[in-house]
Amino acid sequence: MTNPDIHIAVVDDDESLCRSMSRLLRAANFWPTAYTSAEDFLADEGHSNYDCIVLDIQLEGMSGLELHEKLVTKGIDTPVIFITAHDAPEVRTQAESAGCAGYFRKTDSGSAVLSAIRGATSGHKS
Amino acid sequence: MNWMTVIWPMMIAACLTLALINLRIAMGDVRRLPHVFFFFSALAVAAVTAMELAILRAQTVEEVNLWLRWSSVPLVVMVSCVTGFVGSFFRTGKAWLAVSGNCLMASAEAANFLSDTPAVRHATGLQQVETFGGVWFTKPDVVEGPWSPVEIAGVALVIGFVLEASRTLWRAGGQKRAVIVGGSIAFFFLFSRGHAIMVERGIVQTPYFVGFAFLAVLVAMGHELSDEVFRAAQLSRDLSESERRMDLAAHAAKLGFWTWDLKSDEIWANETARELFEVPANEKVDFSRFMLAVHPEDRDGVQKAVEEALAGGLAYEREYRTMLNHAGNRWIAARGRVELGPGGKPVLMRGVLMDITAQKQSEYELQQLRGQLAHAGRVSMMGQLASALAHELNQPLGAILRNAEAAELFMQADVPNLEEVRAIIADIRKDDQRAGDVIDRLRALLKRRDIESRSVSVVQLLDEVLALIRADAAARGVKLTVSCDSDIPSVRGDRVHLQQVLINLIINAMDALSDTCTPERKVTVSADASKTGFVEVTVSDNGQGIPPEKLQNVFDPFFTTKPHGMGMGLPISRTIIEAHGGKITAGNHKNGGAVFRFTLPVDEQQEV
Repeated sequence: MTNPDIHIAVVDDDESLCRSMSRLLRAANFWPTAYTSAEDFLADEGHSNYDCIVLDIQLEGMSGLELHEKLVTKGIDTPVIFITAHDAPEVRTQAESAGCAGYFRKTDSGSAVLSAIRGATSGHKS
Repeated sequence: MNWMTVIWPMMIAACLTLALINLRIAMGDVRRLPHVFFFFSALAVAAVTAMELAILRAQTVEEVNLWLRWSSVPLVVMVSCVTGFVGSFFRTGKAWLAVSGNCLMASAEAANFLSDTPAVRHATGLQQVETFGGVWFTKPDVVEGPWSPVEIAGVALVIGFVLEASRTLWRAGGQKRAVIVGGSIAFFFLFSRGHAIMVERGIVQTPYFVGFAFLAVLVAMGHELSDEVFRAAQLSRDLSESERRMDLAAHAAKLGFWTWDLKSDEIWANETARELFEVPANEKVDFSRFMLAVHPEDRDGVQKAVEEALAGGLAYEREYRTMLNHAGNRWIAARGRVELGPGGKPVLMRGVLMDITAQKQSEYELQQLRGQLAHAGRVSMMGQLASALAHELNQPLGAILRNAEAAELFMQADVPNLEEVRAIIADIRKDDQRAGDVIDRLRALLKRRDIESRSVSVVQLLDEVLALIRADAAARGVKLTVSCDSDIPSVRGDRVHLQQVLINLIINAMDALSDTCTPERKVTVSADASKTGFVEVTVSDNGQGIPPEKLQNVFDPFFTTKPHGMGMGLPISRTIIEAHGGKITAGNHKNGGAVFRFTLPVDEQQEV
């Protein structure tokens, strides 16, 4: 099972989470790139070239939802998978209504996140 | 037996009686000099009177001359003692007048006493004279000598001295005394000397009345002196009355009095003090006996306080416990003062003590209650923070999970990347530590505990608070900034309680922002040490601020503007800050938004 050319952006202000998520993606043969803030991500010129974005909702500065909105308005339709440490019904509703490829808590199993990414990227690629 | 042989001996007896009375007073009185002078004056007057009587009854010229010669001694004593009396009793007078008058007087009388030729007075013959009552007496024919003017000049100077001293006393407000003592001395001195001259010159045919005149002076002096004695007696009555009142008050107030004589190491203690230490009335108390009643843990402190007072501090103040057979442990507050002897060396310590057990007990209970209230506040605060803290815990837990799963995947590979796995394990360890720290902080906040006073680093305090509240702030979309110089001095206080105050203020600030449509919600925490001896911490937001009419109520219990608020957060914060010796105030920023400030005393031991 290899996904050699699939590039994934990980945006999370918790450094350790960034690192572990990237590691998991690497172990699953994806190409992860980590950003610790939405602003960092936007500053990267290649931010529109990702196949999938794993996006933390509560970020310092611009939040994950705001970033998503921004991408949508810019016409970037990269699938987004939201990750949150602060699972509240209103957050979930907001995320789902914004249209996302997945919504997970930080403590949800990594394999579930991986299969969501696979689902999102296979659709995207095709 | 005739009136002459009755009156003169009576005068002598009166003089001697006055002399003895004043000698007795002089021995017991603090202000004894006037009494001593009076004693010698009275003796001298008695002697003069006795000599007068001897002359009145003399049969030969030699006999008269013998007495005239010897009269010099009591006259000198009399005049010098009257001078001394006036000086010491009035506490005024020109010394040169007194000294020169007495010197002239003494040299004239010395000449009279020593010389064989007539110097001041000398009898050349005798006459028998009859006076009223058909009494015959001897009247000597007296001639004056070359020293007579000297004697008269001496007496005149002494009278001058007395008048000058009386005038000064009069001006200083002692009119009555100046008139009675000064006036009578001047008048009777003039009278006695004048009358003696008239007798000696044969102008009047009466016996010498020198004794009478002097007795009158004595009576005037004695009158004023006895006034003094009466006043002393009145004073001592007043004193014992006030002592009784004091005793009564001390008893009512349950005040113990004590006096420690340092030389004999004996401690006098009143009834209340003895009761407080369970010492029977007849038992002697010294310092070691006192220390025996003090609680062993408090003995060093008491010893140190006493030593410091003795070493020069003079004031002694200490609260300590006693350990007694019946009453058990009691709290005593003692205050005292060292009294120094003439050489500046401590001679005794005197003081009061009081049972403050009830006060200490209620203080303790109050502190317990405060602690419980603060704890309740923390628990309710944690309720508000709970979801955010769950986030705080979810971060390391999520990271651990991802790492573990990544490790599993790495291990499934044909050639497992051990380098990655090693890094993963190190990260898991770190995240586990992180989660543990969060739980420790929570536990510290939730634990019920007493306020302790330690050195607290302000930088660290702010860091810890930030760690606890960051997640909540992020969830609410509030930008939380902390600014604080790294060299800010440490404060003295209780870390957890101070965290509580800060978290409470920050939560309030964030709550204030939740209803606003401010585009950028900001809460700023800063600390500075611009006020001497204090660190000031400020928590401000950019919300609507506090309505001015509500500003003065924000620290009142149960005052709240939040729909679900208890209104206890700020009163608890104020209690905590005031227990730390600081102050907390609320206000509004000029650009809008509320500002809360509190001060904390700098930890002096840490400040270098």
